Amino acid sequence: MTTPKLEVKNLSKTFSLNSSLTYTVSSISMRINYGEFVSIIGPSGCGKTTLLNILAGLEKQTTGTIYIDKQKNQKLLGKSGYMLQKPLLLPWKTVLENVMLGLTLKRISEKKAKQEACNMLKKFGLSDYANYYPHALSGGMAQRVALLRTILFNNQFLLMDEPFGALDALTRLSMQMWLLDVWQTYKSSVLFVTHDIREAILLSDRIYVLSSSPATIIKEVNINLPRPRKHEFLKDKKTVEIEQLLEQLLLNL
Amino acid sequence: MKLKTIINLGPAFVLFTTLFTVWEIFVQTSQISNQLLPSPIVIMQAFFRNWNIILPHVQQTLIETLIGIFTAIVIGITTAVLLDTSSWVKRAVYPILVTSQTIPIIALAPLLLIWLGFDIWSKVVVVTLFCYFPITIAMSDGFSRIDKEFINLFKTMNASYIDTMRLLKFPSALPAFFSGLKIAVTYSITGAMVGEYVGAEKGLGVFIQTAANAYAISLVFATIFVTTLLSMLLFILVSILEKMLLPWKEK
Ligand SMILES: Nc1ncnc2c1ncn2[C@@H]1O[C@H](COP(=O)(O)OP(=O)(O)OP(=O)(O)O)[C@@H](O)[C@H]1O
Ligand SMILES: [Mg+2]
Repeated sequence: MTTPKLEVKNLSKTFSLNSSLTYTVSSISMRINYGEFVSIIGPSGCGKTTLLNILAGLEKQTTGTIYIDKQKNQKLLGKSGYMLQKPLLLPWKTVLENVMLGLTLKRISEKKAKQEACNMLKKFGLSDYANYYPHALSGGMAQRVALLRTILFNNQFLLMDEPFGALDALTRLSMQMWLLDVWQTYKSSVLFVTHDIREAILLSDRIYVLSSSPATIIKEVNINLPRPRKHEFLKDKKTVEIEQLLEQLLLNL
Repeated sequence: MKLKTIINLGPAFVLFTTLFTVWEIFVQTSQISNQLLPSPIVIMQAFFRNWNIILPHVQQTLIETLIGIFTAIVIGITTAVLLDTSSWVKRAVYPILVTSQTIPIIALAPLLLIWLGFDIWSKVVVVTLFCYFPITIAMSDGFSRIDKEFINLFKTMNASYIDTMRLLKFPSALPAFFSGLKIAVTYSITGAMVGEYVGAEKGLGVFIQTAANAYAISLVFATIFVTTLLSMLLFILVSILEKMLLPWKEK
């Protein structure tokens, strides 16, 4: 389990604003092992989305190397499943058709794609919603559909940018457990961005703390809680200590 | 649902009826002769009496209009797709497109007649010119209004250009397309008549001219009535098509 799914070395990204170069991401080095759940927390606007965009292949880093499956600087588009805060479901497609999207784009036959999407909806308790249109879904439900769509496209490597950021507290709690359930089924490698320290602790094997702009890693914390995780763990004395440590770190930035 | 539609149409119906009643009373009580300003009832009588004479002209105009709209849709969508290929193309072509709209189509109609002759094609082109612009602009705006994050989502899923068009851009732009098409079809009949005015053997444009030359004012009004009826019919047809193709917009 020591070969990394993702390895990033000295990654930097600059934007030129008004002819002055500003670093958004500055010499970040990090790794995600196979099947590992890694979170990134950091202050608002520090460059987390920029980092994920680079890893997804949407933007190009200024310097630095990215290895996926030990391969260097390959074409990154399509190598990960990228999920955002907005569910981005196509309003003219049903839940089932939305979940199928990745397979459709991979030119997998309609019949087979439908079969797989159906199985997936069934496995994760969304069968009843298969023929709904997105406008009829609650925020939490829409995000579940978005996650299944992402997983069906790529269940090996997931990039998630505050996927539960727009949800209410109660929905968040159930979504977190549901995500862990999905993750454990596929043993995916996950990079998860969040503002919520408790969420990061509950979900992750490891947490990177980023400083504010430019974003650079100031701390790495291992979370040695047993799996499957439970919300009660957050009340453990040791967990509370980690939470306070992280809180202090972020407050002092 | 049915009841609600009727209630929604209620105010418009009341207003229409009131207007026509006022018109009718005005003509009957004043000394204006029906020869100059016919009352609505006289117009309707003229319409029903001459229905079989008007019908072939309606057919002619309708054929020109439908071919013209269809051509405008094809060329309009093609233009919008081309405009969408790069911001360079758009910045170069868009201003030309808008400028071209300031050319009065009425002025072009005689030229088209010279180039294309008396049969339907010169009129078809006039209709196309009328309809092309609203369709192109609406579709192009529809493309550019798509949330960038959707485009990125498709990119991260390695979608090809064709798939992005087919599965994301076209469906996204469809509501905008229909807004443009609705505007276009309301102009279209008028467009065909402008073409016919300049020179034709058949069509509502010709018929209205003949009627006017013969001082058959009630027939002129009857033709105007037919024209509005046809335009409205096209509008309703497009609306129905829109409802059928965009079921997710309903709720
Ligand atoms: N294309 C760009 N040009 C110039 N500056 C940019 C560009 N994209 C992002 N930035 C800047 O980079 C910084 C980091 O942005 P980013 O969205 O990555 O932060 P974030 O950590 O995801 O923020 P949030 O917590 O609000 O989601 C911001 O200050 C932003 O203004
Ligand atoms: Mg962000």
